[in-house]
Amino acid sequence: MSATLLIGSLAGVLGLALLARLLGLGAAQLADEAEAQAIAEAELPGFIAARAELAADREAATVWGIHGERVCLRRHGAQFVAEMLPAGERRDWRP
Amino acid sequence: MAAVNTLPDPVDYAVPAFVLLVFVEMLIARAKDRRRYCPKDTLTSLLLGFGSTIAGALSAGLVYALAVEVHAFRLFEIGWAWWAWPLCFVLDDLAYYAFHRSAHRVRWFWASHVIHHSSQHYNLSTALRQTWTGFVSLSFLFRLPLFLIGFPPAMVFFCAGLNLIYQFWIHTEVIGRCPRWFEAVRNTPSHHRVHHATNARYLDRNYAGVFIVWDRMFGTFAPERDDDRPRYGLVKNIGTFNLIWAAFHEWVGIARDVWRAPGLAAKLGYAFGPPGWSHDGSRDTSETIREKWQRRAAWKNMTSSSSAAAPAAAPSPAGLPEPADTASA
Repeated sequence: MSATLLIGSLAGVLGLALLARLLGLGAAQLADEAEAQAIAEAELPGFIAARAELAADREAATVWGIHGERVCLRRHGAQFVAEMLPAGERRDWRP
Repeated sequence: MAAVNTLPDPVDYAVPAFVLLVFVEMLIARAKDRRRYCPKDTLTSLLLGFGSTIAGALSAGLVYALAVEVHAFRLFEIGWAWWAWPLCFVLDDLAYYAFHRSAHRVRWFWASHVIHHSSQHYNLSTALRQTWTGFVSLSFLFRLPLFLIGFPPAMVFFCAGLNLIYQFWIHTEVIGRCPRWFEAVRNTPSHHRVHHATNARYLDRNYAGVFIVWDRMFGTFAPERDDDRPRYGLVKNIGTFNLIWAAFHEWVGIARDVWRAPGLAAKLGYAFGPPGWSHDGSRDTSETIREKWQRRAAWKNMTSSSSAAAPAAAPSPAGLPEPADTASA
């Protein structure tokens, strides 16, 4: 591997990341409670959503399952990650 | 042997095209769906790719030396005959299939390969999100039979480079489906979207590199369905853009689990069992995820056709996932 290739690759990496930012790519908001429930169900095997509550900025949500379990949904880049909360744990929407 | 030292790495020549095509795909994303790219995710993917190149260069000498050593015991004198090239390419792709299937079914190999699946996006930058620990996981072992057969090491590594280049363009949502004859034989964006998907029906499917026929032959093929759009990432996403964690989190998980495991069998299970395996069955593997998905679908069907179904009859909740609770995706 030559130094030229190494430096060129690094320049390409940083350049593309900068272009992604300049092009305004990324960011995501939950459309509604139904989308939050659908994401929680898709992310967690066996989880069946009963209801959801969105954060004011629509970048996070709490989703309740039919057994009372709770799932925290938060934006990660342009996607969302879901985490099952232990019983009794409170979770701020914007940790 | 003169040609051995003169073959270039084709991937080096493809890098400018990679950069250009990622940029073109970004422009398309801007026009069609800005969620297809995320600047932080792109930077993470590309830096992981950059690190992988360095890691690969550091171990290349050792891997090449091993290949030459094994080639010394070759069964056939194949040499540089013209017909050896296509044969080598096809057999190297079969070796890739074996490696890739193991990379999803054996946690030791998965710990290295998981990097490639750790993005929740599916775009051309994801293709470049490659492992830093391929040498540690001994993934080069899968190509050794080719040297033993008699293919010159330089030929095999050249074909492997072409294979890697081929796999770049299939990491995209821009291309829908290719002509039927092509989808029947080759790995395509559609087939590979299935491979990267975490949807239960798609888990551990479509391991092919170039030729999808391996999956069709060995029973691991699944077609992409219009009614089940792929969701990408891991069955338990890491939720961070931290490079180091992305590169090593599963190794950390293995170390923790092996340390805590009761007995030798459990320790071996945590290192070499399928991803998500646990000695007490408390975690999810691809199989249990598929079962839960089917049970949930059955329950939902039941509730949609009857008002009598109560939550008590529903499948039990997923439980609390452990940090290393990551079936392969």
